[in-house]
Amino acid sequence: MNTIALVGNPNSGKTTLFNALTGSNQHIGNWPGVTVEKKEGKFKYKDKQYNVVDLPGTYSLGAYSEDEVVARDYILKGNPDVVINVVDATNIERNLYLTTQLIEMGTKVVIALNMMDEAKQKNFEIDLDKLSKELGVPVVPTVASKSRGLDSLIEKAIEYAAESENPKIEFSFGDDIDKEIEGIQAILDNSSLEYPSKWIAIKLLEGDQEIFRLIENKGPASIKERLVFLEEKATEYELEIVDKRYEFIGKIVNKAIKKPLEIEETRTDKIDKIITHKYLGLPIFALIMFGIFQLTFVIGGDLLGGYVATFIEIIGEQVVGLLTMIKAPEWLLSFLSEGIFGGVGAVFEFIPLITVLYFFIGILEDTGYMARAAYVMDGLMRTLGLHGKTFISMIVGFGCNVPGIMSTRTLDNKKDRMIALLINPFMSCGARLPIYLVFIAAFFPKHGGIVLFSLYALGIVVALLIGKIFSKTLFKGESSDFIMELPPYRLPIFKYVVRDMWDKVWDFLHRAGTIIFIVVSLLWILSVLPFGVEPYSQESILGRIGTILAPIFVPAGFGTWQATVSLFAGIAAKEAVVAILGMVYAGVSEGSQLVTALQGVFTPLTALSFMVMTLLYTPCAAVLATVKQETKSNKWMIFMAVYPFVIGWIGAVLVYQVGRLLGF
Amino acid sequence: MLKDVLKEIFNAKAFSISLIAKNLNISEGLVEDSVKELLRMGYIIEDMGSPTCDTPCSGCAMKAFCNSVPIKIYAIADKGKKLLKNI
Repeated sequence: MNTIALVGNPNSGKTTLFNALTGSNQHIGNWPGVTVEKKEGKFKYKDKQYNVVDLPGTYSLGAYSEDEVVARDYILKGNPDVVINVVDATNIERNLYLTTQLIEMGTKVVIALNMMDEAKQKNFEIDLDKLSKELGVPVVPTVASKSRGLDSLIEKAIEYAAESENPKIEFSFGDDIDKEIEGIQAILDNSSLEYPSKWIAIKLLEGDQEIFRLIENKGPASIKERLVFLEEKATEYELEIVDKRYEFIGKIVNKAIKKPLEIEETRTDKIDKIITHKYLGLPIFALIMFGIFQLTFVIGGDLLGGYVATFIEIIGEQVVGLLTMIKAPEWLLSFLSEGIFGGVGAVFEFIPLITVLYFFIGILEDTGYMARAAYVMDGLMRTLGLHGKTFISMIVGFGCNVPGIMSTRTLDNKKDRMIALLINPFMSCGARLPIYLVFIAAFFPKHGGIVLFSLYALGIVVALLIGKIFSKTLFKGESSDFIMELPPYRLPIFKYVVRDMWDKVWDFLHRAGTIIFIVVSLLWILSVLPFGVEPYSQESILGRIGTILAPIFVPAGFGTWQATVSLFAGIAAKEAVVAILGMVYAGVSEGSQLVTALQGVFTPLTALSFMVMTLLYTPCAAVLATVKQETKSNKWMIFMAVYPFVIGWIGAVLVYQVGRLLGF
Repeated sequence: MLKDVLKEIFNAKAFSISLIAKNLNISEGLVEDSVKELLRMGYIIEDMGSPTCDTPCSGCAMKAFCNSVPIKIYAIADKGKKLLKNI
């Protein structure tokens, strides 16, 4: 005997055992035809040299991955003298599944029951003799990481390899399957196939496609004729065979192992009992979101806010001062001062707040809470006739509506998908944040958290109501069911949260530096032309366009040409709303600060009405293009451009008119 | 055991591996394997186009919006529904 194969589940300590046995005497290559790593080594025991092959870590020996095929082919065709199956003693039930398959193969197996020290720490009492008797193979306790039990393991493996008999334990898959196996086995016993006939029979009844191909090519005619029948049978027996293996393992474990009585409720399950509670779940979700918005203003607004604005103002003054000194043309000074520093700069001023908000949302995502939020909302969604998965695309839409809409691809049903797609833009994306933030800073500085929370909540409520209307009118039909797996809670990893936050902030900065810059530049030209008129005045091209359209917004309380052009510019990209307001209001009041300027032309009520309009109205061009791409229809793209505008306008008018009636 | 896991999944709108493990008094690893087997055999279906990705792909325009914790969604396939009727 000179070849030993090591096989085991990933993380069972197999490679540790391989390293302990072979030391530096190893060779690493690839298995032929695949990219799976092949590790071989040598060791000496009692003056005799042995080869060891470390097979890929695998949970079973099917044909579902390259690792599985490599491991089973080597065991069956490579003819190792003995196979050492490394079993993690702390996770014995899972690991024994592979063991049962090795025994089915008729392989000479010695079990290295590894990590025995950890099993003892967990108060597992393992009766090794009983385990060995029940499995019909030798079992040797080891702690590979401390090189404990290795001599006994090798001794036993060499001794067992020298024995003439292979494992004797047989287990039943149930009468029907056993009968089928016997029938197939009888046909195959006289064939010259390279695998054991019983194992082939089991694999055929499990629907193993590799074995079906083998039979098609090399099998006897009498079995080839039955392949179609066997394939049908496999769909019926497959689950039964796997279940019987687990049943067999369960019986062995009950006899040979004593574990602490019951599996304790995990921390995740305890938390979930409250977080996903039927009645408490929704209020908790609302409270968490409110807390995040409040904290964003406390940290981002009160502590960090102002620094960036001051910085941009100083830089702006320095640049303009420098250019004035070198007698730069007037138009350049105006473009830089009002267009770039007043417009694009106004968008940058809110970076501290946006950064803090993304940081907290990153923490929420990293803990695994977002899956709970989708689950909590599922009940409400179903009540409204919407698919629960819709809320997941809505959550994605909070970042950006483009991936939000793209994520609706996961909805199989066309009705569910169209509704999810059409309501997604009501989810307030990150680009709309600067608009809220500038108005909150101007009119609601003490109640920023509640105003922001209310806007986000309003977006969700409107989306759900519109979804309900669509499900009763445009898209009638049943929603399909789905089940969600809740990942365990985990402590957020700071590095990942910061990386995620930075990615989002960078995306924001990138857009501000590209799309917003272009939009502002174009609109700046329109705001200073024709020559001879007062720049940024009602007589400029921009002013004239705005004046024509402004009456639409008179019932909503902000029927000025400046507000109107900023809203229409927002259809190019939402950040442009603030940039254009910054540009057209630059110089309106002392210090040319946008917040101060807005206080002069808006009231708290018209500010609220304007924010509702920006929350609900036509999404940006990128979203419209995505709708066209996803629906392959210009009709839906136009619908998406028009109907949210109407909803937004109704919302804004309602806020303003009701507010006026209430005396605000 | 696979049938028990399938029943647990079917009866819950949302499930966690740990909760099924507790309910069936088996290890979490075993539940994970069972879910994988049920998927492989087509008794349950996983949404492959999950909107949330495990790791953001470099070059993907949406990478900034990938959740760090993926939400896995399953549906019981017709094969699974048929089996559940017979249990």
